[in-house]
Amino acid sequence: MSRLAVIAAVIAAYLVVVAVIGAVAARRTRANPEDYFLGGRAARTVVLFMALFGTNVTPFVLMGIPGIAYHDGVGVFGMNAAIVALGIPLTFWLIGEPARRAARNLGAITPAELYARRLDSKAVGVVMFALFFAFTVPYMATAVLGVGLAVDVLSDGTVPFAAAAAGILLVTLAYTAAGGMRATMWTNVFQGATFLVFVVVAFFVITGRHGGVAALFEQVAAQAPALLVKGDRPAFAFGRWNSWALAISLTVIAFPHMLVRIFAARGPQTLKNTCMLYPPALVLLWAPVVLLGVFGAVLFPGLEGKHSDRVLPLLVRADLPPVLQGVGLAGILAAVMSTLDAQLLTLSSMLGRDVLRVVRPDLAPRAEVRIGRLFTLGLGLVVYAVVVARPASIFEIAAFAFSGYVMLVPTLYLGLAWPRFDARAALASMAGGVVVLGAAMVPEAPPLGVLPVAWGLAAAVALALVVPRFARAGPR
Amino acid sequence: MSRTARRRSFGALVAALLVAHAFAPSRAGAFPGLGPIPFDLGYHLVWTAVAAAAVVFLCTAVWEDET
Repeated sequence: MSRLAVIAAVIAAYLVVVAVIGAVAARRTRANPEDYFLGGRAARTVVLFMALFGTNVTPFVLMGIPGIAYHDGVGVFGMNAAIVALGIPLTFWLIGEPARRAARNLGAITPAELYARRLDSKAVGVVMFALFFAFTVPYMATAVLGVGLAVDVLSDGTVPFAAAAAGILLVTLAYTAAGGMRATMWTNVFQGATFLVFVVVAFFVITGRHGGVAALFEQVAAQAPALLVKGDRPAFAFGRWNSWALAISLTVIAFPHMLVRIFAARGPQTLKNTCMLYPPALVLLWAPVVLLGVFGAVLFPGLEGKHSDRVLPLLVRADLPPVLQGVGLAGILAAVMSTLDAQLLTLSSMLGRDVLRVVRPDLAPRAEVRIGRLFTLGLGLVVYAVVVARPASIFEIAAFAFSGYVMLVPTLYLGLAWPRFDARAALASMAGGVVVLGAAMVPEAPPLGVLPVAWGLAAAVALALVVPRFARAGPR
Repeated sequence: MSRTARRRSFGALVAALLVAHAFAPSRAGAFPGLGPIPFDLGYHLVWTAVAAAAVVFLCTAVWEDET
């Protein structure tokens, strides 16, 4: 059996398992929005953790991070994983749990719907949907781009990039449209396990083939010692380091597909258990991918710029047996599908509840689900168009999306925690933050060495705090 | 320990972690006690371990269920 046939067989087996799980979940899903979009708000610890973690991990981690570590070295771990290990649980506590509770009490299914009801403003829901859509489409594109690159490398160019991207979108669309939240959460358990196990196994097999971790560190120290210290790289300068920490630790709670999954939690203890599992899982995943990127710099030298996104597939291609290469590709597919399904489902649910219901308040629940499914298909086509255009590197596109999401964080927090925070403040904060973010992105070098996300967030926070005070004097 | 004291302890721990992240030291060589792991990676692995402990403290002693 040829190498490509073995890889194809492993991928086929993986897709069959996903399809079976999706089909079983679809049978158990009732045709009402609460069950289709939130799985009946009954997710327990393992399913919730794997759904959140699986959604959180994309080719940004599996391919973008080794690609950045290839150039910037071990400091990439501290810049991303360490601060996120604290940031995610903190934001789940401060925003996630109050939002889950409020969503249950108000009967809200989407984040935009929650804040529209909470602030008594349909405009808030529509603006939130527009911003979530604007930043989720590029983020989805990074996922499909990653698959295209991985398939391209591992199939030696036999499977065209466009065909791989179309295939992954079709399979994900099928089980998401059929089974809703229950299908995506159940498949995420399998998908999360697939990519976690693959990364750990790949790390030990690849490093083992080159004499072990210590030998590879010696090789890096001899050939590229700068990768073992943060040094004076621009990426690790004080302003960039800390403004990126702000972005990466705050952005996750503002992913609409993460918030919706938090809404699906059975209760607060489930969310607490998930928080405690996050830091060790992050280390288990991020330490190997950062180190594989660093080791890749001496094993596959000469990858310029965004071409370093290929370093993990290249290592897999060179050092793993065909079965593990297939598992590797399945792992990348799993990371993509577990995020893509959540994003498709969340955006389609927001369209129905936060836009269509504003236009047609008498919309029947069954019609809402049907339109949501149609929108999911249309969204898949938009993402496919962006992917085929291939605008930039995975890390760059993701950084843009992450920065945009952060502009919603003041509204997400204050909308639940501060009674005086109203719709005007929410709209001013979100719009002002996005405008300042866009303006700060114009100069080639970030102003005062601080990334645009920090300027945008400062504006969003200032407007969120100032507008309610001015509004106090006028009619309410 | 009262609820306020637990919250304050957690706040102080988080503040200390943020300062330790913002002003993270950088130097060549291995991190003491972690074999060949470079200092700049080892420092953040240890930082993450402390952060993980802080999260356990948050979830077991600070985060109270509200109805």
